[in-house]
Amino acid sequence: MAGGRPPGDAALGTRPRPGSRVLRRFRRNRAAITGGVIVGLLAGVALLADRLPLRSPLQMRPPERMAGPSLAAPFGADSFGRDLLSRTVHGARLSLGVAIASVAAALGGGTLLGVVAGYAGGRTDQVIMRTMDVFFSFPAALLALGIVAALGPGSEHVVLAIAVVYTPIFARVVRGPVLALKEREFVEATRALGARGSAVVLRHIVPNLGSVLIVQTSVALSWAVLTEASLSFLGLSAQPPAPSWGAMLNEGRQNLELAPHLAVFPGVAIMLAVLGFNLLGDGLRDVLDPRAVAQ
Amino acid sequence: MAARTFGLLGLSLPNFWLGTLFVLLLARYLRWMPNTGGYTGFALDPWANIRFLLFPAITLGVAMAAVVMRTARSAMLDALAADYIRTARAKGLAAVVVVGRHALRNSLIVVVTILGVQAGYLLSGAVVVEEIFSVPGLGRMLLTAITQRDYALVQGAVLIVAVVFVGVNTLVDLAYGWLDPRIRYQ
Repeated sequence: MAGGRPPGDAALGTRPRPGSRVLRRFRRNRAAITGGVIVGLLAGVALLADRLPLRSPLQMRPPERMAGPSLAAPFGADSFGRDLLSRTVHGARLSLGVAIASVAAALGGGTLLGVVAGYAGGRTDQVIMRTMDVFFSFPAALLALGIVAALGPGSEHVVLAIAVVYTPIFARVVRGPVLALKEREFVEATRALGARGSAVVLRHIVPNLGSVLIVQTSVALSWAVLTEASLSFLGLSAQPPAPSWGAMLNEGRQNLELAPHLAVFPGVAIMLAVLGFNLLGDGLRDVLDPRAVAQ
Repeated sequence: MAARTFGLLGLSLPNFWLGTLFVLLLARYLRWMPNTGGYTGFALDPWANIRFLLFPAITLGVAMAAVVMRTARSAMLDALAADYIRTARAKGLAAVVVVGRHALRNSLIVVVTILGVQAGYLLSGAVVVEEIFSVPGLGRMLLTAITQRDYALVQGAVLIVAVVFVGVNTLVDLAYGWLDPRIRYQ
């Protein structure tokens, strides 16, 4: 059998000797490193939120209402006297959790649909891709807003909405390379050796989609964080008192003139997360260069 | 590199946060509230209308500017590498003419495409920005309709948004033919 790895496949970039060369290019790419560090820090903070020496994100201390930043509470306290640093840190868990869950669902569903459409071709391809086109005809953020509005507020509905919006994007991004890979000699050779369709797809086509999917996932995550934040800003994501960045920012807006720090810190958190994923995606695109696959 | 950083920052700046910061800056530090007295129609008082819409417009425009800049940059890089640019240079044309007329015009096709897609961002981004600046627009109406479960109004608003979106993208398709005379529609 053709052992999965096409010989001398330079155009597909990442496959020969996975790791070493890509890793070296990644280390030389400043955008990718910066993005990776930001994302890593935020993910670490989100994972360890309970273990960090912080006050409770929900406990109210009325005397400290809208207190400015101090040594005891570096980010100050919100309008109920809750510690803003702790709320921001726990907000990272919620925001990143929603983003990762929704993008994972879209990645799985979109890849499946894209691979099936691209590999099967013909009527299956037409049915799947035209259905995806229907989703494309709505502005993305508005579609997400509409889905959440129809289902009612709640972070699990936001996950579903973002997943629905992003599934067609993954499907479309995956289908192109699948069409190209399907015609390659190594796939033809595998088929000629009598491999079943599912084996060809799983062992020979899907592994070669890696670089496209990695880049798209990073970009999708940045969009998911931003969308979750704006839906939560409109009061449609996690409900109070859960700490969610967008909702915190909206709360801070009510007391903007008295306590500007309430609107500043959650905003910085959102921007850092989005910037981190954007930098990482941009850097990874340079490193992995999916254009080589498209050609 | 500096341009790339600006582009990424603009892309990562949530518009609802930027809007909030503008309100903060204007209300608390500059003590200049352009939106006191509410919305005035353009026909009634053009100056008041522009003053009212200035900051919401900037807020919505920043992210779009970043997207357009990034797209224009990569399209220009592609265009400048083309053979006809070398020919134009070899003819002895001034750099301004080569870049402005030959490269820019050809890369505008990509930029215009992105502008069409971004119209969707404008229409949906307006929901949040109108809420922040209390603009009595379509987006804010849509949001109110959603919270009040007024489905007929939601459907109507979404229909208008979809029609505008499709309309803008049709204009984009027509612009292709104008930008590149080789493109013809039957």
